[in-house]
Amino acid sequence: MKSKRYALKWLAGLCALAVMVACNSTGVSDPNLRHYEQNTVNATNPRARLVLGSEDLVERIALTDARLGSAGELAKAEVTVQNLSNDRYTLEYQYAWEDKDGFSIGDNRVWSRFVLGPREIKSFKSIATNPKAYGFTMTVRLPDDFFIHQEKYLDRK
Amino acid sequence: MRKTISMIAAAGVVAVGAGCQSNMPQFGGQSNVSVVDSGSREHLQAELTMADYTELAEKVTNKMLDSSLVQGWKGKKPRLILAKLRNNTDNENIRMADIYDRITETLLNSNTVRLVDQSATSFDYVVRSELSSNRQYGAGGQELVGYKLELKLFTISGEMQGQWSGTLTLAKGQKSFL
Repeated sequence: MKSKRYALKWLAGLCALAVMVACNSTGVSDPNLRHYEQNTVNATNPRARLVLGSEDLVERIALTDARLGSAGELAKAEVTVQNLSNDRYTLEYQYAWEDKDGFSIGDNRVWSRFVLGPREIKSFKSIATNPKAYGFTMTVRLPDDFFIHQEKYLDRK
Repeated sequence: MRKTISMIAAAGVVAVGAGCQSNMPQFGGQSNVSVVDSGSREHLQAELTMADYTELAEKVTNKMLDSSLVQGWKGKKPRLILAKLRNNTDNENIRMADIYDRITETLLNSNTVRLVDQSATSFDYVVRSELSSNRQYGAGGQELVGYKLELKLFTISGEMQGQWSGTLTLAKGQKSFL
């Protein structure tokens, strides 16, 4: 009887563990962390966070030379995107500005598409929409929209 | 006892399933309509979308704000009239008011100028703007459309002091074979 009770407890514990693992599959969160370190994120400049939107772009597309300046009362930023490969890439980028406290500024952000030929280097500038803007996150990713997503989903199906 | 164990095991499986279910993406769950990111750039036709209006308007207005002329104003905040945006494209259905509003929003947020109504009698500059396009068709249904938005800054005496433009090109590929 004792061994059965022990087995029961063990089984219940296993179930609880399974539930925890299942629910933790999205990752833990840390409210004090700006972002998790990954090879797709570079934030060595405290005012400029550069993000590659896909693991596939690592070592093929490089984001370099983040510079910040001012256009009158507004902050402006420019980042260089370099194609390290011999492939032609259609990509899109987006700037997201933040104030000194890290609050985001302007939510009408648009993805801008561009083409990068083999070994090509291009720079993309953004001017903040608000004088309070201090730092920015620039993300470069492979084009993604509803129809591209739908096509991939239907292909998989 | 065996029944109890199997019930607990079944409950565990259900709990795991339910736990995972909350993270499962449900594609097209509500009819076939989906709310999409308004900043994404999908197109069904080679025509401008709201995201295109935003990009074009911001691109050109930011060029103006970044110019040495406007930076030379240094807090003077001149009074500026933004004249009605002219539609010089082949499409009369373009929402010019949305482009106009985006330009005024960008200018106002910049805190660089004071925008006054077109009926105002006291002002320093007038900005005239125009949207134009050209279009090419290919034999297989391809289409290439170029849009250009232009801002021109004039003084009261009519002297043009600045001109800025931005372009956006849309290409529609060949229709699928079947």
